[in-house]
Amino acid sequence: MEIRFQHFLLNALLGLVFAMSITPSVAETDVSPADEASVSGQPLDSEHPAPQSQSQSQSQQNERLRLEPNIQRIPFDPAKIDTEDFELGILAGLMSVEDFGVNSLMGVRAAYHVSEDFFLEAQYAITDTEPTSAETLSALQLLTDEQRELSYYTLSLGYNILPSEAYLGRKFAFRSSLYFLAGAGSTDFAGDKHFTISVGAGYRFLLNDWLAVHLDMQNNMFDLDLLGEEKTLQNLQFHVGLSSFF
Amino acid sequence: MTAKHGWLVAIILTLLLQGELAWSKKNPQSVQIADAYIDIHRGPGRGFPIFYVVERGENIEIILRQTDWFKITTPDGKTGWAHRKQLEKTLDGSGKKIRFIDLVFQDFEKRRLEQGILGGDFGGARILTAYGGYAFTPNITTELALSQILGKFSDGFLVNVKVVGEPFPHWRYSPYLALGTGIIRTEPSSTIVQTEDRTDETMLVGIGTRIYLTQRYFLRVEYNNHLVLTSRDENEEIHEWKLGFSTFY
Repeated sequence: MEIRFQHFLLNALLGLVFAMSITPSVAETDVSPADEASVSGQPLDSEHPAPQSQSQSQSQQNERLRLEPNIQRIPFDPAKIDTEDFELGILAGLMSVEDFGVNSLMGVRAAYHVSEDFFLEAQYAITDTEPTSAETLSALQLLTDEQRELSYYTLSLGYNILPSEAYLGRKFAFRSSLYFLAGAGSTDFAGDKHFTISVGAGYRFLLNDWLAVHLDMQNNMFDLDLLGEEKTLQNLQFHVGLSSFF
Repeated sequence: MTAKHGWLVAIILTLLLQGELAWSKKNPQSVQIADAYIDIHRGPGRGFPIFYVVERGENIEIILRQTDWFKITTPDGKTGWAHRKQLEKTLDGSGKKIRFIDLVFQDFEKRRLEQGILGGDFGGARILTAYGGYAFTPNITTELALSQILGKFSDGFLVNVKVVGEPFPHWRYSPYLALGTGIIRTEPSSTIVQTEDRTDETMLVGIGTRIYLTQRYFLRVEYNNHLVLTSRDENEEIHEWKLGFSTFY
């Protein structure tokens, strides 16, 4: 009995709500010319007095709705999207300078990613060299201490191959890619600057969207005529790098 | 050697700070899909598998952009990468169509700034050049170029200021004429007889062409005839050939 009464009450309430919600649309159907004028932007004036007070309040409601749209606008600005095409990083490793020993290498690297395939890279690094075996076996000294330091810069074009995802356990996936590098630059060694051709290959492993670890093999070739006749030195290097995208 | 690497420490610190900024710079932009659907890839590359699609009318959040790929989040929290071409038909909050900056050939004509690197032959020596240019009109550009010359008997630096005139900027292969002046510093090789380093003024006249590639990139091929105004009795004439790659804005 009680449940039945509740149902009845609920239905009556719903009916009332329904009736209330439908009333304005019923009123809208008989919009007076004055209302139409106000909707189309003309002000309500004494020339067209509203026949009913109800329709006047209706028109005021329309006016209010027209001025305060109920849509939340989200501004969009493509320039505000964070672009991550530049890369800046450091590198450290070993560089073998032909005839002059293997020494630690430190440097910096900057890259601009042109597309998903190509990037441009600039590299600058410094290493020390050791006396040649000819120097250690005799009293001969070919270079001063200052001339023994080698520094180079290269500008290279990189090409990404085999882009992939690497997985760590069940939960983590990292983006990675192999790449080839080819370019030219200058090496400052033995008191002179030498035109340098550089080729290399590397592996880029992204820890997140902006931090990457690199492993690189590279060969910087330049001509040196210090030991009598001119010779092309093959200077192999291996380095690891850490870089940040921005 | 260790004392010299103070700058490396400074760079590491800058890097970390920069990384920190990248971390906090999150500013996702919300857009509505207007295409029938868009493909969501696992990574920013055409080879990464498509694991999800977002349908028309759904809102996605753009987190960041890398080259032509956008990292997005779908309404149900999936994160992946969408290509620019597919996002071309998206709408912003007020229902307007979005245009991402996709440069076409027409933008090449209207470029203001350009920069690039060139390499080639400078009177028998190798030359590497980095330059930047500003276009006052589509026909006239001024350029500043820094070059390193690496020769067998001498090395050197060359700084040039050029005015470049382009009669047909609307051509894909756009030829140009250049007039310029500069300073050249010559350092003879240490392995040959020691002579003095020299600094001389130069004048140049050049001809070349820009070749529009795609997006914001073009190639440059040029020939320059340098006249080095030496302190000796005779002036020196040097022929220079270069090929390079440039971007414009």
